[in-house]
Amino acid sequence: MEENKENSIPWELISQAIENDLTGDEERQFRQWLEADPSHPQLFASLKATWETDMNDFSLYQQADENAAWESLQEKLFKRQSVPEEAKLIRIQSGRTKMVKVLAGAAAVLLIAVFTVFYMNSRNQTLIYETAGGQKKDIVLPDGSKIILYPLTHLEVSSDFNQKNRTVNLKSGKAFFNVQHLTLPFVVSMENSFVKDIGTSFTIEKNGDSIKVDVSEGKVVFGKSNGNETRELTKGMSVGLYIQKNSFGTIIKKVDSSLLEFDNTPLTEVIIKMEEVYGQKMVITSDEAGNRKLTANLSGLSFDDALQVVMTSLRLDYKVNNGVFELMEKN
Amino acid sequence: MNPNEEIIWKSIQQQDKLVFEIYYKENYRSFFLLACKYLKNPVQAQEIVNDIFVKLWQDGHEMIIESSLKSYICKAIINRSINVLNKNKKEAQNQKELGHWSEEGYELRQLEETELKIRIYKAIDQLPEQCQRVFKMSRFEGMKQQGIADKLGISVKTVKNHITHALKQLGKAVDILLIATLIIKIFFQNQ
Repeated sequence: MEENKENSIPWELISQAIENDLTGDEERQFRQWLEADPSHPQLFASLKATWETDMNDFSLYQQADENAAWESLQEKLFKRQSVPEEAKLIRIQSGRTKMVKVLAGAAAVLLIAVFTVFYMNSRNQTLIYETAGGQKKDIVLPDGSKIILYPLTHLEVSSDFNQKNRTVNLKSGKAFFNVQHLTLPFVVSMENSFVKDIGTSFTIEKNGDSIKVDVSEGKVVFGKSNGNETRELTKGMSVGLYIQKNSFGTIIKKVDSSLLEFDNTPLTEVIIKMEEVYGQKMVITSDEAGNRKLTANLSGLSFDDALQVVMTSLRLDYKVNNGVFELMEKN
Repeated sequence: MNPNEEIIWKSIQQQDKLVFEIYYKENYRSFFLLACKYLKNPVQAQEIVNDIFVKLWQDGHEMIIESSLKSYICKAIINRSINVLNKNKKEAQNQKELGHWSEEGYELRQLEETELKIRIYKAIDQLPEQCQRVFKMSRFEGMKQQGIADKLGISVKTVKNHITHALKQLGKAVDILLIATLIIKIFFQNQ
């Protein structure tokens, strides 16, 4: 909704009218507002209908957990082994000695959660960060870049980081990177691939069969270690590298919902955005129609619904010709 | 199938796990609520949605989907839910609901309705805590403003402010014009 229009709506009166709670004077004011413009009764009816929508399944909506459901689907599909209990504990190793000390018992878990998650390999001076199950850890690197480690993640940072290079090694798990843009490139190195940052924030998730990169801001290059194949990803893009097949999947671009928020925007610009988001071809058949201006939020709507809102708002019609949506004046 | 869906569907057919995961997580709540509408059972609803995604993943390469991907999944959800209901021999009310199943575009109308609800629910979920509490007491528990004020130890004026704020957010979250369109659709559908 346009801000000016929104400010001119008497929200308090409307909410009281919906709740049947208007006093005599307020009732008169409300009637006056209803009669002031033909769009007001429609607006009121729509708000009342929204307020009174059958919301019996709201508690189900709150219960719905796409991440838990996905976990359960993954187990069905990929027969993943559940994480053994001891893997949830932090392994404390000293340098290259192979003593693996598995701490048991709830008290030990608590102790570990409070203590540091990194230790230093004394021979090669590498800082090793590991997180336990259910544990997240924030790291600030010497260059000011920030990393959030998700549970069960293993990341290594060389002690000369920020001197000759800015390379970190993600051995396993999931991490979010918010990188300072400096001359020295920031590189996340993995077994058979790397992500090179160009001043940005992104998330990498590495598990046994794939590496996923998800860019929240800026631009990165995601490539195979041999350097013969790379993908350039910008804001909102994600792609997977499948380790066994050694091949990239399809780049998916999340739709930026603000793309479809229009505030007094000419139809010519509206259809450019709609074409970008929905991938449908659209043309306007008259200049007059092209100059019409739209104020609406089409985010989250299917193409058909978005088209219907545009047609109704701007009193237009359309026909489909060879897969192209031709927008025209209503007869 | 629109071009975006086509890319997604092709990627799923080629077993691109990331695309599959993104599509699943983005749409899970709509599909879950749609299944719940019939089954009234969240555990069964999740199972049905997941079974359909298992089939898409495992048999996708030999499946031909001519309509939209979403519409195909909705049809499958409704179909499987009906089978479960038939097995359980549910009461007459369910049978009445199922009577509409053969109508053209039925599954898309169901999905539109569910997606609209998701927009409303998201807006409610994002209300500040106290405002959400007032909204729920007013809307779900049918409490009067004075009753809410007494229970929460706040003034009636504050209750009114919370309700006004909630209404404003709902108005912002859903496109009012779309609501009007859907009301008309639902009205005719129920005639």
